[in-house]
Amino acid sequence: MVSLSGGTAALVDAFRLPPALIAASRRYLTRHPWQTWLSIIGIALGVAVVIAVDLANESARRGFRLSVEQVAGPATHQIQAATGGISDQTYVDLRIEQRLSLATPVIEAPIRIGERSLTLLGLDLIAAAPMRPGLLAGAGGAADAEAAAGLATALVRLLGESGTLVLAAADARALGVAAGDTVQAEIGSGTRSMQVAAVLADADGRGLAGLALADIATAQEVTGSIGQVERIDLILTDTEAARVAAALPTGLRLQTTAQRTNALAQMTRAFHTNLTAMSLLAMLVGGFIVYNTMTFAVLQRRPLLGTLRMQGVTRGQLFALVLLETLLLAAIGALLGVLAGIAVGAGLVQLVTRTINDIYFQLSVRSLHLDWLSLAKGVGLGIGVTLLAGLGPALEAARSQPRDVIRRTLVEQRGQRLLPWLAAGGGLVIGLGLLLIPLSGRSMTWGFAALFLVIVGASLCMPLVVRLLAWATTPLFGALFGSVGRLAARGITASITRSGLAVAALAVAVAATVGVGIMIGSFRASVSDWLAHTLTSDIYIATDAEGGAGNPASLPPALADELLALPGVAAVSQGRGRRVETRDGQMTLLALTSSTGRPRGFRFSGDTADDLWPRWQAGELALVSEPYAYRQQKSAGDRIELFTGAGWRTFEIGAVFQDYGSDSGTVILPKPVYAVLWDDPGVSSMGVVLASDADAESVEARVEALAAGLSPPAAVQTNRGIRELSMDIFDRTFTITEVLRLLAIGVAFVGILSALMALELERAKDYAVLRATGMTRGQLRLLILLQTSLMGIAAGLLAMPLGVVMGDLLIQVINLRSFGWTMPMQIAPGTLVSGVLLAWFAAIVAGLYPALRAARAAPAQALREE
Amino acid sequence: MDDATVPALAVEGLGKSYAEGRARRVVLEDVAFKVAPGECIALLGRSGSGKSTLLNLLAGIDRPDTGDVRIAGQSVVTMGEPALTLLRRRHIGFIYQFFNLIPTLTVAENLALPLELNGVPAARRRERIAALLGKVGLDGREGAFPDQLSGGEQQRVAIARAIIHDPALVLADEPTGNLDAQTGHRVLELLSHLFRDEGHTLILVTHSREVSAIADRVFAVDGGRLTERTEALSW
Ligand SMILES: Nc1ncnc2c1ncn2[C@@H]1O[C@H](COP(=O)(O)OP(=O)(O)OP(=O)(O)O)[C@@H](O)[C@H]1O
Ligand SMILES: [Mg+2]
Repeated sequence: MVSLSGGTAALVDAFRLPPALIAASRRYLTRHPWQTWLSIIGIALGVAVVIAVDLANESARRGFRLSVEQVAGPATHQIQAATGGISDQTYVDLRIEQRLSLATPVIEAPIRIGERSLTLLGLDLIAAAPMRPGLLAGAGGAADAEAAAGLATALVRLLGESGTLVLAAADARALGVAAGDTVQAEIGSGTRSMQVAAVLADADGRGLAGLALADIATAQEVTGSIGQVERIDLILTDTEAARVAAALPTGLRLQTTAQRTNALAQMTRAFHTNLTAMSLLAMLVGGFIVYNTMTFAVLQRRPLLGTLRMQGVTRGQLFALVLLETLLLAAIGALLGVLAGIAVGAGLVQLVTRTINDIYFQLSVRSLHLDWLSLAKGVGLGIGVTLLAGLGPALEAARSQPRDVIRRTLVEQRGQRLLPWLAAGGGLVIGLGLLLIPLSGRSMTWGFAALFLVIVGASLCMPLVVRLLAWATTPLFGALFGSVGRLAARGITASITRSGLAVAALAVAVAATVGVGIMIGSFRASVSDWLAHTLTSDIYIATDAEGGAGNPASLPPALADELLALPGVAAVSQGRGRRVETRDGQMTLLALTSSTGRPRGFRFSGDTADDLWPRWQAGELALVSEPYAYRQQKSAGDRIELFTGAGWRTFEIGAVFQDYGSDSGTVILPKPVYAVLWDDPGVSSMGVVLASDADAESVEARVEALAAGLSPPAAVQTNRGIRELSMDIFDRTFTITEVLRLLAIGVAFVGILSALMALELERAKDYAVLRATGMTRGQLRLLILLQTSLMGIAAGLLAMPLGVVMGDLLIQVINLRSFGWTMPMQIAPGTLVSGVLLAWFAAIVAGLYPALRAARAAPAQALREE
Repeated sequence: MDDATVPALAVEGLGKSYAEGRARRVVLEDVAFKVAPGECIALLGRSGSGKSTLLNLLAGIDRPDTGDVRIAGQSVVTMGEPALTLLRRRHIGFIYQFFNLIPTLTVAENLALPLELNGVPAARRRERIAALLGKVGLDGREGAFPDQLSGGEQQRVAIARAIIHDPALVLADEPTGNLDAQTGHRVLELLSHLFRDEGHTLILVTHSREVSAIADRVFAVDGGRLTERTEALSW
């Protein structure tokens, strides 16, 4: 007989797993392949979405950073003018007075050659040469003398002949052009011929990919900014920078390259964060699936685990065993997730780039950048979430007692007793989440944390609600379907620890899609409503030439009078838009004036200053948009500082207006005030308001005729056209959200499939008994489908309130904190109904296989199994 | 340790009751007996008389309300959960009515598990498994999974599993209850031979008198009390 005294020493290896235990686990997983694979797919989808979004985000950020670095080169500082342009003379004066040896004037503009969007970069090639030795003195570094000579000739042509440019080999190849060719280049709203002076070989030209390099004189000419440059790039030491900054004339300011880059990067930050949060939601649902599968795997093996405990397997060993199983699923799932994530990411990066182009700035990202950190993050998160999800089931396994061998219902009894506590805990978690909202101020991350707490809390409450629901509907089902109906409803109550979980998982997933649907729907309705309110004119004429130095292209000022003189025109408004510097970063400035006096179409939120319009027209007050006011915590009566052509100017904020047009903030000034301060009499757009009795079509035709002869060309659009275009852009912006939402639904679908199938297949034995006691196949099929239907509908019904709460949180907390937009919640009944139908459909599909299988199997076979 | 002075099992004043609604239902009351090493005890009794309850108390699966259970001199009642686990691992074998083999393990692996848990080296494990499989008449079935065996074969594997790690005490709850009469008879024969051979202590719950014929002593559980049935020996 073995001595008992070694007892404590043996505790040390309480977690060591004997080979036979591991073999038992492995075979359990391979003998339930659908269960195993569905949960692996769940993890894989979650990881894939996280990785895809992260890769797309990183690629976009990297593309942005590269293009900024490429254009800025090694420049440490920029000098920029409030009015957008610096005269040639100012540049020359600065260069001489400040003895700036490393400085070049710059003009940067989007240019399109063939199918390729490039950036036209105009530099003073002589001045820039010492700043970019690798690029421009390429002649010296070229491999052979001939190439060097060729490059030297090209540089001479660039300098000497107007309309010449240099392309990188990669771009030239893609366009099928060679040195000496003539290309048609679209710049601003016009097209002109340009000559390719040279194609830089890959070695020299790598830094030039995506750029069309030209001499500053050529750039000034083709962008229509004769005598003006956009900015001055410099390489300065700190002391030099301080000296230069002090000596700059009014209306010019010195900025570090990093400041400029950050200001731009800041614009898309909220957008990237939102995508990441959406991807985390998919991961959360993936975690649910794992939790479901592993809990089921533990409960299914409860008697077996009891037998093991009886044989002296410790709690620690069972815990470790289940965690090991989870880890195996996580590893395989994460691996597949990486592969799928890269594939999905390639598509997603296009969507991300398109959205950034639509609403922020021009960005071209040609390929997905395989960022190792993103992959590692995705894998780490996937495995982490999976293990976390496996923790509960592992602890449950460790709770197995030897007596579980004998009494199986004990588990259910314990589970049933646990339900109220679970629900109470859930209520607590929800409360915590709701409490977090006011406590977390304006933090977007904490906003998301609150949202997740509410979701998790709600899912904890669900099993209890499901039981009450099943209990309450038992009589109804009995009345409708007889004993089969009663059995179906009772079956849910009897196995609530598992059915409640399945319903919770499905409900959370459906609620997420309902919530996001409500958010997008409300947003869309608000934007549409806002457009209708804001677009007060019936016909708009606008120039959209961008790039180049100095003031943006302008409509002829006389046009306003011509328009007003047209029969049927009641009023003409004029607008001018540009980016301006504030003390808190860049924002959009809109200068407005109207022939009727004050501009219309504003909806203010909060207080407005007394005598708003007279004081605004006098140049004392500025109007700012909600996103700016929210982010800077400003309201009417506060002050805003703008960098004007006459230096910094302070305005009092007269009112805060609703604006869904930009999330970086808009400030509105009267046009005459703007014209003086920024030395810009130009007009970017004019709006024509028709008289009530006017014939819209004939006025439109006349306006078209007037606009046709304009140079630069102008586009005429009707109110409806602009609204349609705007909604189009809105929908494109949310394509990516929709795609992520669909992916989340996919994950949820896999989850419900695995949960319900596990549940129904486990009952195979009970069903065999029912068959043996005389239930027909048809009745059995009905029973199973009734049961899964009941669960699906329960999930759908529970998803409705949770979805509405999520939608509300997304609107009131997430959207507000991300973009500064407020909007009323609008619930389309279709969103809710489709949520319930989705849940029901998923549940029915999940019930099909078990229904077929249970009905087909011979009762004896099923009774023997196990 | 002197086997003659320390009983394999000693039970004193054992009592157990369950709550039934507001009332308490006494299942066992003041149960006391001693079992010497190598002895074979049969427990008889009507259904619901408390036989399984007693066995569970002996194995430490359930906690008694009163009294003490000592296995190899160690009190089970005061033992913590980890120590109890180790006690079962080393000193107790259990045979169930429904076999309870691990369905995902082969016959050999089912037998290997208790040895692995006790840290028996691989070579010794192989020897012991081969020897016991021979004794229970299942040579060559090492690689079979439980669902490929008949009920009688499964129970023979379960018997081998219960004694493979040489426990101080083997508890069997109606080991033949789920088998037909003939198979049950053969399993029983195997049990008695095996236990006499290897000298294990066995406590056997049964309904059948035939089973009790192989026992050294027979106890009856009735009305919560345990009484020794000396006359059974004369059957
Ligand atoms: N966990 C429990 N809770 C409540 N009552 C219990 C519990 N376990 C056993 N009982 C009751 O204790 C009594 C004895 O049960 P036990 O299982 O020990 O009987 P048994 O002699 O093994 O019967 P059988 O021969 O049918 O197996 C029964 O009346 C049973 O209802
Ligand atoms: Mg019993």
